Amino acid sequence: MHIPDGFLSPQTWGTLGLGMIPVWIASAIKTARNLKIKQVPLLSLGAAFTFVIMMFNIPLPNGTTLHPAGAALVAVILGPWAAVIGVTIALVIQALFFGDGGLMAIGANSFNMAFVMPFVAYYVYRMISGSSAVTSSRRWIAAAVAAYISVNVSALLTAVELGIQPMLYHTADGRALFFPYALSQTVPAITIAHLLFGGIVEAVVTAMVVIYFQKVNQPMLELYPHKSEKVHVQSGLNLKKVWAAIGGLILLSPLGVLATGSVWGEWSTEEFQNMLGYVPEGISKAPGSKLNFFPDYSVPGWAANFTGTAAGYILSAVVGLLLIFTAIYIFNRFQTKGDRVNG
Amino acid sequence: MGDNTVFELRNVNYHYLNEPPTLKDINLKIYSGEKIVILGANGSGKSTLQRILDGLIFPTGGEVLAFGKKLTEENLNDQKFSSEFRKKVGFIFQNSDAQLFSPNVWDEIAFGPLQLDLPKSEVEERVESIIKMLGLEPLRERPPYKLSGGEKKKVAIASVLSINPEVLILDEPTNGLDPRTQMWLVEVLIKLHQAGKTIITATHNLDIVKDIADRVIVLSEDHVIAAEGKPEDILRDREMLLKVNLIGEHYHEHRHGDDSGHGHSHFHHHKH
Amino acid sequence: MDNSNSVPEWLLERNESGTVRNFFSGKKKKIGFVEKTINDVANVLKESIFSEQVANKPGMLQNIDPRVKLITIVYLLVIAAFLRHMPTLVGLYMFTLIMAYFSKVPMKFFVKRVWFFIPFFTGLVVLPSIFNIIKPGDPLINLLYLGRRVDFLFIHLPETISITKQGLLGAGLIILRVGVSVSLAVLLTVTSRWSELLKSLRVFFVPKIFIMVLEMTYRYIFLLLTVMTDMYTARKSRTIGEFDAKENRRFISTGIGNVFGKAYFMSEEIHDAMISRGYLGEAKSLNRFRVLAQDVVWVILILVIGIIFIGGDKVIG
Repeated sequence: MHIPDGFLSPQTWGTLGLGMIPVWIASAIKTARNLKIKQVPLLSLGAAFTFVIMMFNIPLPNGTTLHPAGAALVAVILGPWAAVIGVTIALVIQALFFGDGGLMAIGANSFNMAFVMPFVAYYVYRMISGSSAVTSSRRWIAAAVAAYISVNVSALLTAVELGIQPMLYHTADGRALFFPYALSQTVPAITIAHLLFGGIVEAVVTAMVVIYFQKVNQPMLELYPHKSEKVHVQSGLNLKKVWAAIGGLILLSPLGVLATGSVWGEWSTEEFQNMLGYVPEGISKAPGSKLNFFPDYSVPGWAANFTGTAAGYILSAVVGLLLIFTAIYIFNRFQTKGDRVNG
Repeated sequence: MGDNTVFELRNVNYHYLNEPPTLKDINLKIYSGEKIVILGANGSGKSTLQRILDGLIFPTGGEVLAFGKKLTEENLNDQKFSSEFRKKVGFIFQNSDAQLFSPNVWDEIAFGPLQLDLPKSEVEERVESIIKMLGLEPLRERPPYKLSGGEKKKVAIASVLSINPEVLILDEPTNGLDPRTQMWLVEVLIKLHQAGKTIITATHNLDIVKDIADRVIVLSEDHVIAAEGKPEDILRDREMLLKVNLIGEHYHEHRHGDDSGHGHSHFHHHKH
Repeated sequence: MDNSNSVPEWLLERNESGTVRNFFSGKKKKIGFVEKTINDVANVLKESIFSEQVANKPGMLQNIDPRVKLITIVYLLVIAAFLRHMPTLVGLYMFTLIMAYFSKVPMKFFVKRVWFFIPFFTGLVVLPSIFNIIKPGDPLINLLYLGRRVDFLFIHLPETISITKQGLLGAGLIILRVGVSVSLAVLLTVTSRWSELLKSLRVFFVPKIFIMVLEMTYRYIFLLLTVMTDMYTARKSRTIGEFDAKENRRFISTGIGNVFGKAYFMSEEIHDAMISRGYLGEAKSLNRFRVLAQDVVWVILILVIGIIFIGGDKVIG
């Protein structure tokens, strides 16, 4: 389920990446408040654990092996917010050091596996387990169902993200620029695999670990939610501000996409909205007909001649250069200023 | 002597939640510049005692004074007190893997001084000089998982020494080390003691006691102080050592310098 | 204590089947999940050691400030994402080869690492898209003439099954793009020490606390992997017959539970170790990076190259 670089258009990974920023900020604030000073080692070990779970190969009846995604298990044990951080970090490390999943696709992969999956898993788990005792069999059943549902939701999202690529981005003669298959192909292919195998592996592993903890180490199942309600009341005001900020960011994020779009001369606003409007329609279309979706599709900026836009690019390059060095300069300043204040 | 007291424990008890106590009625004074060994079998409460001394856990009964001030959770939440205390007391954990959490050796040694808000240039200077002192140059950029057990212990010691603490607490420092590294460690401790540091070592390794202790405190398996005294006297008291389960029937005391091929004898050149 | 803890009789007996003569049964065991997991873990460790070696060589990219390197590689990744023609992507790939050469990355490794896996994953994924069964298009090579359209449930077959021009070009484009992206990512990771790479994430405004968590995660992954391999190796060395599936699953869930228990216990201890050295919940770190003249030259070079590729791509159409 790790999407590599090159499968998604920059617009898709850009949007999902920007969308993840408020989620990451919220998860940092949430876990900082709940886990307090222990957050760093606990989150690190949580993330390391998530990474390591993905290395456990599960034997399947047909002789092959499959590994679980682990997000559901982490969400059940450490709660959804800590899972956001844990899984994101596991994904970053996989992408950076082990070439599993793309660097640019980190936003998209995080959205599917580090945001949607743990939240779906956690709330399904809460809903089914309710206020049952830690040792109750409702707990592990809840964990299994949560894992099964969450991994399938996550797989469906992956399928949709990949499936909308050919609709949105292809050349005039129907050549795919990114992922070549339509929704009608990606959705069944990916979801069936997860309904039959991935989901079951995830469910079995999650449930078995919960059963193991029920038998051997019950406090592990009581780490989250924390019992300190007092903290919540105290910082209620802060939380409101955070939500306002997040709301603002969410409102602004499409603007960011439009802005980058116009820098590269890719989309006009109208076209962008047009495409978004067409997405649901495309789902119902047969594979053959989608190619004529944008019969006169052409990219306005790209059609112009080279010299005409070269000046614009050089300008943006100079701005880019300035931005990079300003960023580094500011960081150095912060660093030295911090040192001075501290010393 | 009052000014000289580093730690004072009064009737200290400790138990975790509803579990049986791991320390009972401990009364103890530790003076500046002392070399102390806490002896005890596994599970006698050595680690608990050391963690209490380092302000990581707090007694469930009795009180602890550190440098004349009460060592409580509340006091340690005070930034100034906490910072002062952490500067003065360094703790070397038994499990080096827990102690070495930074991405490489350099960062590991710099961690302590950075947390204590030393200026950048001084942090760098301290790290470099500690690296030189302990001969860690080849390991400088090495990540912790690529260190051997002995190297890990050296880096752990370096990471605490960079804070320049007055008191050094070591939990089972020789565990899992080869004889050569054990010897190296004993020499370092002797040197540090000569430089005026207070050294508190928990161990059940009787062979090193004489070298690193002026005073020995023995914890029994029922978590009380079973004996206290000079290392020679303690090590001679076979009956007591048997009772606290530190030795078996077949134990013979190691005589230093008996076999000249053996490395132990040369430690004595360092101490005067 | 009682010293007469006697060794049970059976432990003193010699195990007859353990003699060398019938040590080998001649039957080969198939590679099971235990071996596969051990191999996977070993590969992770091997890879990290290899990349550490390359990162320590005195090459071109190794000498660039890690932050500048990260930004420029990300910039090239974005360029790669926007290119829409095969010639420009091939050109960009050539450029990654040049960078690899001057950075003393072993060429065989560099090419193999990228092109050994892509055909198996991306290649296999995009293969069906070149046929007009999946996507209609201008036929390039006709493979099979059916005579009439077939429409049956999910199956829709055209009159003639052929490889299409659009399909082939699209597949080629995506494979190339993935290849270039993976090459760039490999270049970044093998020429950087991971501690520096993680610290340089600061340029993207990643908070210090995240970087600290990342650093610690990476560090403890190796510890947990060791715990895991030990467990698997112990099991492998004790495995005499073959276990049934249920037993296997139980082993795995116990294993995951154990790893978590270990991780949780460690996190408490690490917390103590951090507190003991003055940690108060605020991450303080020091980077030893300095931007030099060569870094400025490098940024300008990469920016210009990016513009050339984007421009070239537009000239093509």
